[in-house]
Amino acid sequence: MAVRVEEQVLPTWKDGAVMRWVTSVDHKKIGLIYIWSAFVFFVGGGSMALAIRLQLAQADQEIATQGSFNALTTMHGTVMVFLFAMPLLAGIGNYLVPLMIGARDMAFPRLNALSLWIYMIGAIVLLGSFGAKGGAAQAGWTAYTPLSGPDYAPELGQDLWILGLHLVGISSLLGSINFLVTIVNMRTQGMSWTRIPLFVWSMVAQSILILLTIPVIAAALLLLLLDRQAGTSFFLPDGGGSAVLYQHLFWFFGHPEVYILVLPAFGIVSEVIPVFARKPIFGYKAVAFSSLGIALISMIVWGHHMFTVGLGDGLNGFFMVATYLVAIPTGIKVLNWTATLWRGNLTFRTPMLFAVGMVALFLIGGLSGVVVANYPVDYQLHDSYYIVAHFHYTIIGGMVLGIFAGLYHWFPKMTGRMYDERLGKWHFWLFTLGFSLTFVPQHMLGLMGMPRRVYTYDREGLFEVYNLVSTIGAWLMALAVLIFIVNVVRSWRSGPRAGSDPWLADTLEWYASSPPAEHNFDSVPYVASHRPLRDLRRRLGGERDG
Amino acid sequence: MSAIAHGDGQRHGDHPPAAHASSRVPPVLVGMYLFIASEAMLFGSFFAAYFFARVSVGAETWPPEPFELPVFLALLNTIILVTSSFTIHWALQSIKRDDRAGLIAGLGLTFLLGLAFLLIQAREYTRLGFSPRDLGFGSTFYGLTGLHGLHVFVGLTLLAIAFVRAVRGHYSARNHQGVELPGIYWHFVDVMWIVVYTTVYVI
Amino acid sequence: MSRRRLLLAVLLVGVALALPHAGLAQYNGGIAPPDSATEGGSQINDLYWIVMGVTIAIFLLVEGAIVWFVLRFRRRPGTSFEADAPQIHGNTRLELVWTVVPFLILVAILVVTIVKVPSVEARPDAGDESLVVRVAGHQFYWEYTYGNGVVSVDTLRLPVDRPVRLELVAYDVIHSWWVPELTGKRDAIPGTTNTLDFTVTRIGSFRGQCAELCGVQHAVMRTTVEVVPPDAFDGWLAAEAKAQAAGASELGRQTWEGVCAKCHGLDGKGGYGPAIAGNSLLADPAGLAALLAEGRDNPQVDGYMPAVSGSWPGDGRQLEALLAYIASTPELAPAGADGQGG
Repeated sequence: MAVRVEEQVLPTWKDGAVMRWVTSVDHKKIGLIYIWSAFVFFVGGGSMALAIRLQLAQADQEIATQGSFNALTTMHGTVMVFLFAMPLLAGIGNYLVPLMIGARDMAFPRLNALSLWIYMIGAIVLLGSFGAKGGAAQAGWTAYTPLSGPDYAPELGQDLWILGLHLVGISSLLGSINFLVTIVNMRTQGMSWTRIPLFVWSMVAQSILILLTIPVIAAALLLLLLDRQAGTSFFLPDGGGSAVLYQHLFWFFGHPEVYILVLPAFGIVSEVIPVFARKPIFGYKAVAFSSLGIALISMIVWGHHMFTVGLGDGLNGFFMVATYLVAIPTGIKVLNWTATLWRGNLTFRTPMLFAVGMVALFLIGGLSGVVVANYPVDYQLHDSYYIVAHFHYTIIGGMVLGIFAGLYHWFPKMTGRMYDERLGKWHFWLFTLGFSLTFVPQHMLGLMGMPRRVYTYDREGLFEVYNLVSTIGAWLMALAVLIFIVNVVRSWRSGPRAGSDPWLADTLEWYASSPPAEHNFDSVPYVASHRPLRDLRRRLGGERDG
Repeated sequence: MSAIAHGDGQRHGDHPPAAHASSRVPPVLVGMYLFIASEAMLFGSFFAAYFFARVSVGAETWPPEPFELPVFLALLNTIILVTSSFTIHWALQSIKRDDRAGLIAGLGLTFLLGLAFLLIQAREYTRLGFSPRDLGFGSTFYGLTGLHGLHVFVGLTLLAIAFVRAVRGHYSARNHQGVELPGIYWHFVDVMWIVVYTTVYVI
Repeated sequence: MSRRRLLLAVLLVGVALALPHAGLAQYNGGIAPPDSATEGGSQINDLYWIVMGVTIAIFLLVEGAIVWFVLRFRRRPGTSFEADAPQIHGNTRLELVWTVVPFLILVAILVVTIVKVPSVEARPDAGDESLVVRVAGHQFYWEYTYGNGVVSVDTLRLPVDRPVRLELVAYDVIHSWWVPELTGKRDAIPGTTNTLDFTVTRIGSFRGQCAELCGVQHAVMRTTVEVVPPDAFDGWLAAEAKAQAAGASELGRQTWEGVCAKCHGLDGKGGYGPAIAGNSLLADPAGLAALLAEGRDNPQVDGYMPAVSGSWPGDGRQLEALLAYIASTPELAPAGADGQGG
């Protein structure tokens, strides 16, 4: 065994391959490190979810109860949002944005590397809270005060949680500035704002949201830290502070965060569907500008997380109206994607399966959002399992399916090899089946009165049936992810060579070789529409395509 | 397809990727403005905390009964900081005319004014008679002014770097981004102070 | 097999699994909030079905279109992957329609909602007086205090057909009072008082629990609402007031079960918290009172004990009742106090 290690690992170190990655400022290498590490955290956060589901499979189980259960739900949410979802999107964005706009790299390559490694340190600090005395943070991913305050969460775990989130937040903030400057300053010749790929548009909207809302969560966490360690009372009612203020600050960030996660996935789907439908996106401008609309409106809807706080009918009504407004640009997107399918030449390779699956399943999350945004109805549904089901439909149904679509779609670009289609399809069907089994019953559980974040329930009958079905579904999803991992590892090593443009796609990244050279492009075609490569193909083989 | 004619590259009218082609504003400046937007949101959150303590939790008088704020000392500080905005502007205008002496004088003056502000604030802190632990009032007062003080400190650090580089002759009429960036930041810190001053001390 | 059909099959299997079980009717099978025993709750259910109706219609329409397009426009045999489909870039009029129509639908939902809002939480008419009950959320129990000073732990007794106003407060962290069969939830937040108005229209026993994460035992912070006829309620309230004054009520047992036992176990042999059965503090009125009022946070020990007695009546009768219950329960009482102790 030792011989093998020396043979295989040591030469890598000697050649400097590891150091080449660690010290790299190449956006593609940074992007891949983001993607790989985020995926490791996805497996970690997923394992926590599996433990949660095991505990809840039947009533009165004793797998993880009380404090350890609360730590599991807290860390599952935090890891999935901050260590998996945001960095994975940062990774995909890093890899694709410069390629898509025909640039050599991000605007600030060293800042880019700094973001990556701040995120790594933040992740270590955050997960370090598992090793702290008293265990990981237990106050929920929302960390409401006073539960997260000095009196009720005196343990070090909560402080590490705060510090970890600070670092990860700084990383995202620097990343968003980098993305925006890159897109503003580094577009290739001819690429006006109405010719940039829709994924890039979604990164613009996402980066604006990060830029404007991360400072607010940073402030909330900083003040919380001061309350805990410096004796101030910003959020502590006993000292003249307000527990509700924390909720306002948290959700001012927390709601846009949902769109920070889902907008890039919207962008991915807007790239994938046209390619596999052999059509342009239906209504480019509507899809592009609705991203901005979503971003702006999503900053005035935070109060819908606080309907039961007792804000009064006036404020509750305002936030209800604002929330319904945000449904409109979202609905526009869904309908534009659907219309792109119309009269297409649809080929259901794995990316397309995931993309269409995303549209179909995200719609459910969007519509249950219309239900819970109605504030009297939310009096019943708030903080119940219905909410858990709703936001998993938006985040898994919306974001994760979109991300899988993107990972399959750009796998040949990133690796130079083609993935295994059979395994990809198995992955899709098992994942969506498991997903539906997990979360459809959770709607019912919430309506029947099961609150979220409970480690047991005292009722038999349907409660146990739905919970058991949900647990089975979660394990099916895990199996599907396992298939994905096998597919990626196998195909990366020995998949068939893919060539630079296996899908005959329309955007500039497919003009580079697969994987792209360190400097991305030797040359870039002049961009005269939002589909430069299609223009190029038509120019080259004008007679054939007519 | 007349657009193709714009290309001047080797193949089919292609061209090598041009760097920083798509905006007239240099990347570093765009980045700075974006950073300042996020800073404004950070201050906004602290203001939210302040007004929450003042309005929704609120005592009957503000500041609450035994506490008093040194309004006139703060006014002095305001004058100092506003003056420093003009001196940094003078420094930038000087180097644009290639006047290095003016640059060094302007930067030095700005630095000293900023330092004076910080020292006066530190002195104020020691004599206020209340601490961050005194109610939401104390917490938010120190929160807002402390956050601003921290920004002044960061600004001073940037100014010090720019000053040293100016003395070493790193800047010229063509190359003065290293003065412009701290300048933008400093103006932001000044404007934020006026808002903090108006909110905390005046109204 | 298409994904839709698979999903349908799965749903059918799920329903088949669920059918033989009891409780299906009781909870509507979980397709809607439970049938409400209050007017306001019924209004919420009506609103739920109105919004559900609209969203189901949109769901069928859009998913129908997706499935139809997927089946109808999938690549035909003989057509190559790269063959161009018609290059349709959009249709402004169509896009305008599907912007304006959803907008109008949402406006309609909003109008219906706003019209219904006043009856969702109907305050009693002028002249009618509400029965006011103070509800205090604690880690991890609910304490109910009636106007005449009667207190009750975790069990709330209410009269039918009489307006009720709950005044919600919290003594430590945020809790949320939720009894799904009555009406929606409302948070109990330290530092503020929230109110919740409703009138129960059906006699019965209703279960509920805390809906806002409040700490380690959040999951067992449950409550029961017993709704009885008005005269039975008035009789009970008067009798309970006398019984509590005389130290002859069930308050001691309620307090042990609701306040102490959730962490220390019904038998006091420990659970989340340490074993306390037989501990001498259980027979020491002054020491116990101090512990309950201040809690305990020993840095040498993981976890802490919250202060739990913040809402207890000032005359000390709840503590006395608790001490009496402990003393009369052999497995809890310290040796020497009464019986052998644990």
